[in-house]
Amino acid sequence: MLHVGLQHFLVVGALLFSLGLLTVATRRNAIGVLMGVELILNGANVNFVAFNHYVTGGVSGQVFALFVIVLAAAEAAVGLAIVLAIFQTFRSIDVRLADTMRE
Amino acid sequence: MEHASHALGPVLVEHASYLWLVPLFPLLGALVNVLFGWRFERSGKKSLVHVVAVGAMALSFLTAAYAFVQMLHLPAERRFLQNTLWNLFSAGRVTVDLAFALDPLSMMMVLIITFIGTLIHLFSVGYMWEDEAKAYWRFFAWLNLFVFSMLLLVMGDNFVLMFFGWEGVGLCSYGLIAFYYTDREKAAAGMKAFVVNRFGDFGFLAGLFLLFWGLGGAWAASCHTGGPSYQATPGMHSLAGASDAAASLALAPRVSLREHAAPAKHGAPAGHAAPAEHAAPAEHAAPAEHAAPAEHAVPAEHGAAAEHGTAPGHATASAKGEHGVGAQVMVGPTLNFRELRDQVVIEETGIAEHLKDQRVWGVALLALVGIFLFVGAMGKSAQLPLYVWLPDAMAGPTPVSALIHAATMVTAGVYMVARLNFIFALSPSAMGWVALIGTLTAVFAASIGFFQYDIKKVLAYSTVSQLGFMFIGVGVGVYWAGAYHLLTHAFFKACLFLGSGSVILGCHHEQDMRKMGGLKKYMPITRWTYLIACWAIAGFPWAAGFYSKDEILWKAFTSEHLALFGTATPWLGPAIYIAGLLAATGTSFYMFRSYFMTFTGEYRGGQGHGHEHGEDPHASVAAPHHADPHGHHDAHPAPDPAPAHGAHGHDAHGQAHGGHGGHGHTPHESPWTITLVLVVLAAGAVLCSLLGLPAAWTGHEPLLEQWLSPALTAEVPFVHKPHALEFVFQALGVGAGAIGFVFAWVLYKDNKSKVPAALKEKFLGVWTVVYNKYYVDELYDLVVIRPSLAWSRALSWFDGHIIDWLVNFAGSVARGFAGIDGWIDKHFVDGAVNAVATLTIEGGRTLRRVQTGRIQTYLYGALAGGLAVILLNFLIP
Amino acid sequence: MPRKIVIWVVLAALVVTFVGVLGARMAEGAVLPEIILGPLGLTDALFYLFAAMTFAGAATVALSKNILHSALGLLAALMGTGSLYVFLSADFLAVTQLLVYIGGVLVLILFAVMLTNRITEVKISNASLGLVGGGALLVATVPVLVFVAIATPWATIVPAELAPTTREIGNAFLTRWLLPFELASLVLLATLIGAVVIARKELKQDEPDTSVS
Repeated sequence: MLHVGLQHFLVVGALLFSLGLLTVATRRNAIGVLMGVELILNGANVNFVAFNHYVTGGVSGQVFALFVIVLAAAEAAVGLAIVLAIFQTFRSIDVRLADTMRE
Repeated sequence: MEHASHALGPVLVEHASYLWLVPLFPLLGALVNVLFGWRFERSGKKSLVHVVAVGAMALSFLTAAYAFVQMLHLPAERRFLQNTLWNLFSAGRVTVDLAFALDPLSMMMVLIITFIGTLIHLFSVGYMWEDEAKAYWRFFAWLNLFVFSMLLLVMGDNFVLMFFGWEGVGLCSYGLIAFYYTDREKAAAGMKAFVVNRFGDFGFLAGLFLLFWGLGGAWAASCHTGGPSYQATPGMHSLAGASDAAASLALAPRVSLREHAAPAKHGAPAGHAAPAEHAAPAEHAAPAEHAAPAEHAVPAEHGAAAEHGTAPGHATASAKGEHGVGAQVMVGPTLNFRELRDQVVIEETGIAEHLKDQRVWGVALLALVGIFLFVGAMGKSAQLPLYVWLPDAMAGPTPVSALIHAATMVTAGVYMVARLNFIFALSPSAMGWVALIGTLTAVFAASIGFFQYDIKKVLAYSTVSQLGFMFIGVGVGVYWAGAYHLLTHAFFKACLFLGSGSVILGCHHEQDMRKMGGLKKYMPITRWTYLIACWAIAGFPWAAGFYSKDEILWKAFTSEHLALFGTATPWLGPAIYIAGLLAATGTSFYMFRSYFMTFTGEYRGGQGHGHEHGEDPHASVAAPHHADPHGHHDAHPAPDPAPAHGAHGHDAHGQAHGGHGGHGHTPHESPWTITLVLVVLAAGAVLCSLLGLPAAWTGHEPLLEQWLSPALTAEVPFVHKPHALEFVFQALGVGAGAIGFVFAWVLYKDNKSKVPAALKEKFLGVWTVVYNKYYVDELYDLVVIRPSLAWSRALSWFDGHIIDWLVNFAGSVARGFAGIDGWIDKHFVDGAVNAVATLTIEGGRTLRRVQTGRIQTYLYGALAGGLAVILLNFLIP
Repeated sequence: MPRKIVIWVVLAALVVTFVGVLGARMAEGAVLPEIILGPLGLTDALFYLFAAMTFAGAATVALSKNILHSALGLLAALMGTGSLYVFLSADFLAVTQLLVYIGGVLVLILFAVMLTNRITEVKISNASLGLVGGGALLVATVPVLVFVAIATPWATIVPAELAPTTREIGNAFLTRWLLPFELASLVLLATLIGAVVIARKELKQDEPDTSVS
């Protein structure tokens, strides 16, 4: 069991995912929330690559992981741009403040 | 009758893949002029317009001439060129292709159309160059399009194409007659032509439908007599070829002919799609193959057996074994001339007999078909009730009159009757009517021609009269002579019309013969050509008209089979002969009258240029007077030989305005394009006589008859009379012409005689009636136009008062209901709708609180949802 | 301190998870001695090292109060993940992770942190909220995930030999995945423009844009 196999990677991915979830759930700081999202995506990526390596073979999983990376980069760029815009509007990036649309 | 001893085989087809070029060139010319003509004119390259148009015509003529040469090299029974382009549509067993075909008859027509068409185009260059309509290109575009339509009519392989052409020439003649459309009078003339033609077209279509129906009926009848219902056998498919069109054709019933020729060639007369034909071009060389007298009809596999049962001596069993290699004739409704001809002409199909037996409402079907088709011909060829459009059509420019009303369009009816000779020949009644109407028209129109003063009107009535002669020819069954008269008439009448055009141009758009006279001094070439054409039309020997007219009248006299209302009328032939002789006399008289009035005596056009144009308003085709003060004064006495287009155009300019600069309205000769055309046409009018030298002179059949015999298969019986009698009758014909000539000489030579005026005073009543064309137009007005107008007014009143009241009542009722409906809508439906809306708004206001704007909330929500799904998954196994 | 409580809760949850998982495996008849006595090769040791690093970084991201520390934790987590890719014979992916994530995204995040928190302020806040709820979340998700990961009988194959995959990935992008690939490029373009448009400070008509904020 100590010998590294598929399950080990899956556990690592699961933990990354869970911690990302925790981050997203608990952060008030918008940038923190974005970091959590990155963690979640990484967890998913680890799963992709692990399954690719141990189950399917080929490179499809890696291609997916690459797409995830690309989209993550895009998401980070846009998300951070939004954060900056929010900061310019509210002089803060506390996610609790950005609820003006509610009313 | 030796009718039955001739066994005719199916038409043998020779493929000529270039035939489509013949109509293509005029179409292209028309297109180019329509699209770019105005640009040519605006950019000062006006001559390009006629280069295109005349060039297109010349190319077309050359192609046709090539086809003629090819046809000459074929043996007589193979002279049928065909060119299928593509399938237009197939409906059931009827397949209609865009296909062109030339047999000797249509070959002759195509040569006339393209050759004389080219000449007339050339003439138009000089005639229309300085026209006041300022639409040189429009004129030539119409002209080219007209020729295209005419070629389609003549060359079309089936009724559909023929009808396209038939309508096309009607349209183009409308456009050309109403060429000066700013003039109401002339625009109305165009409309009149169009409407009258449409009326004839109705007859054409009705006849066509009846024939189509009759062929189908023939088939159904044989089905009901107990023959096996037809089914295409596999063998049929293989013979007919594999293509789709052929496959659909294979459904048609066929009659196999026992012939020893390979089926691949004459095979499938239905088989323009049959690949076997294309595959075996090398076999065309053997001419004897087709001529096998197919005495033994092979009963068709499918049901034609009943038909054959009527014919004695058919060894069904022995023939059965051979039919596999026999040629086949498609039996049943068809739109294709060749298929129609094959099944009607070849006796063993039995179709001819069945057609003869058919009756519609107690009238013989074939007579009805013939008469209805002839109504169509009446419209196009201006026969008695429907001729009224043609004299009015002189409103168009003179070349149009020559092209449409002499050489081509008006002969379409004659051509159609000759084309369908095998149909007409089956019905003596139809032929009798055709001949009778033709005769009446010939006499009637000739009499109107006596007293007209408008030179073009004279020619118009002369045309109507000559068309009557042609119908006498095709009516009594001497089809080749009808076609021959068509040919000769095309030459001398085109020459006359163009000569009159030259005169009109020379006299500065004067058409009234009373204002001409003495022109032989000024226009020698025009005068001589006009005289030759008069000679020809009057029926003097050594010019073409004599031979054709003589042959027609002689055969009319000897014909014995004509019938009216189904009863034989042997007296009709001689009666036609006498009337025809009278008409010939009249023809000679009024033609020489027009010649003497125009070319002899003193010129009377100089004085009183502010003319009252006589009583006839149509005579005022004259141009508005040119206000061009710097017109060249020197009237060119002779045509300028300058060959360049620009140069002769300039000549035309100078000449057209020649007299207007000063007071002396001196007539002048026309430019070379015009005189050249006149000379060629006059020569043609003389040389055509070589084609028709009668058998009594030469001992063999006339050349044209030999040439046309493959196309004109109908055998019509004539009483055999000795040659000596024929000579006597020829002498009588010449005598009739001479009488007319003498009268014209005495009365109108040099315009000195006072007799005409005196006679006019004495018989003023008669003169007025005849001069006003027997008040036929007024009669039409009274009988047709006024009642239809009154009927329209009555309908309008009915519409305005009854129908409108009904509509308004319905409207009021509907409005009442709508009011009630509206009330319900407002109070009940709207209430419900508003309640829904209020609920939605309130609900939304409440639920908006859920939308916190906090990511975490959403995340928990999403997770809760996911959890719920998992739980549900557990709970519901 | 509620925060410490959370940490302990998390760690406890992890331990419980592992124990539970191991217990479940043993209950299924997994060979116990192998777990304890199995040889620990160099590769395995490295794996555990990087897995630990990843986990530690992620935990820092989740729990640190200082946003800068969180960012550095994210750095560790991303590097760890990238290293794990190497074990999975995904060399190209590992390098990409390094370039894009660490060289791009992380730097971007650091910039954002710097821009949005006044440097002069001593406290760079990363205030968290709802730790209780978050802890409950962890307790709910982690056991499930880990259990599924371990308990499921995956249909594994014998992994391929370690070999460069760049060529294959390039082929895959330009053949089978061409359309997504092109779409991804479009997404990137849109992102580029969108990010610029969103983050751009609106220019006032009367005053020129001088502030960098």
